[in-house]
Amino acid sequence: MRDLIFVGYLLALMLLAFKRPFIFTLIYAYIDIVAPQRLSYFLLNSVPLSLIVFGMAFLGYVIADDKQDSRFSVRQGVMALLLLYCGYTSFQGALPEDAMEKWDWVWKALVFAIFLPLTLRTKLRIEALTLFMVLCAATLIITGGIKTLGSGGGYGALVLLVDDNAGLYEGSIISMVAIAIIPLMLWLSKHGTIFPPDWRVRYFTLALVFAALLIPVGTQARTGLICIGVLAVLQLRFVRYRFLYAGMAVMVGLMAIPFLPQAFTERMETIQNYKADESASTRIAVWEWTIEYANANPMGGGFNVYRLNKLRYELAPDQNEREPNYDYTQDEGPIEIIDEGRAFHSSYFEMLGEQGYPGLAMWLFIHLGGIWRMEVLRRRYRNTQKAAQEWVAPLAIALQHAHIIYMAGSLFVGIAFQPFVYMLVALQIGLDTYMTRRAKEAATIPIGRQIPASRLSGATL
Amino acid sequence: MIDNFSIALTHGLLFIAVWRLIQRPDLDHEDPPEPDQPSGGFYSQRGESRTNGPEQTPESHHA
Repeated sequence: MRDLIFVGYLLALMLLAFKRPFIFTLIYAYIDIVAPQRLSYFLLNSVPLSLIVFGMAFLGYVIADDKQDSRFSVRQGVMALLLLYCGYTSFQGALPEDAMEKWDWVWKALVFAIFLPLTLRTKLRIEALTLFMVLCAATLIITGGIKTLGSGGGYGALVLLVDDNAGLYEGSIISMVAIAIIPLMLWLSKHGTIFPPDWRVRYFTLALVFAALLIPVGTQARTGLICIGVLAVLQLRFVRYRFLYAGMAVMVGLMAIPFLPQAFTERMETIQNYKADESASTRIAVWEWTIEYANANPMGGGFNVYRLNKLRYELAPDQNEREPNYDYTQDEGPIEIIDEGRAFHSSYFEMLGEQGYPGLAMWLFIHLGGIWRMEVLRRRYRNTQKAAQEWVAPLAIALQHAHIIYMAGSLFVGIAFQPFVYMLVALQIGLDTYMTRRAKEAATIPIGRQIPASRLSGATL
Repeated sequence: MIDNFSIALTHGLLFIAVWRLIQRPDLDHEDPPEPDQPSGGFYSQRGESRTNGPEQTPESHHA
């Protein structure tokens, strides 16, 4: 039944998209984020859905769209370069077969991120993509929020729509994404024109923000808690009464503790006691291995190269509780643990190990460049006199904050190529190139008005 | 149950969004932006103050 509804829904959307081909681009974003083929059992599984819709989006752009207004930015160039480089390391790397698994979806994410800004030619398109990204992620966030309220969740236990750990459905990733898009939700509720601000939009946004904050509680991903912390600090930048805000935030945080499930608080306490925590110790061991590997192979080992690693590290005994899995023969002293094929657990080290120093440099350029460009836009438009441009600076801030939260979250999760984040990058590039073009158009004054009349009258001609 | 509620809610909103988008002409074509004010740059200000005084803009003089 669900299958038929999904097929009908997609067909209806695609039918509407024939009227405005840009809608195909939005449908592709929807398929990429929600992955309806994973929610269905037979019909959508059997067709290469994303390929078909991407083809439609691309054809729609080539045939029907006005290419004059499209701009190609430096960061799109770097993404294209990174794509070629990743292709090279995938075929030439240490584990070509393993690398192909990841290359298979990474190239699609990068190609779409390079293509997407070309289509973002109008303000409404930028808003529409933002709305789509938020609402698609909301499908997971709402269900996760309600389930957390009902059951309290659990690490790896909170099932979001499907029992599948891929894409956004993975606990740490959805925690990071849910928090990162809170600034975008708030922007839409204030500056949206598709759903103009009214009481319904306000309540929906409020509930959605609350659900998003519950996601890290439900998934018990520690990354999520770090992201909430970063978001709280970032919000301090622009609130009028900083001390009041900080005091309120601390108070709300303290008041929330008794309501949090005990398993969550216990897990979050392991952030402090990381030496006795296996997951944290593995990370440090993997990172050390990655640095050694990158020094020996500065050009990177290709995707999934972590599968080569063999780790040996010592775990300090936990003062509070005993792990039942390990046989402790002595009460004192560290426990030695041998591990292999551990994932990077950090996007920075993921890039360093897989794509080497050149890959890490390109990756940092794309992401830090985005944060910097949004700062430039914010400063340029924060005091704008034009009512039609009032939305620009707040959107730049929201995108910048989302990006900073991602950069902080990705310190501890390997999500260097998360397609959702590349859509965010594409959105930034789209906003940037759009505003640059509009500024040029606005500055172009008919030639007769460019020369002050006084100069003409005083001239000796 | 919760899953279906969440899917129905967001998919309904996405559909309304698409429905509203296809009816908006500014999805594909925008009006040209409001032109910038002629800049009160150093040179033009100096030229104005010699002839007309600082309170008059080049626009008003031209008119």
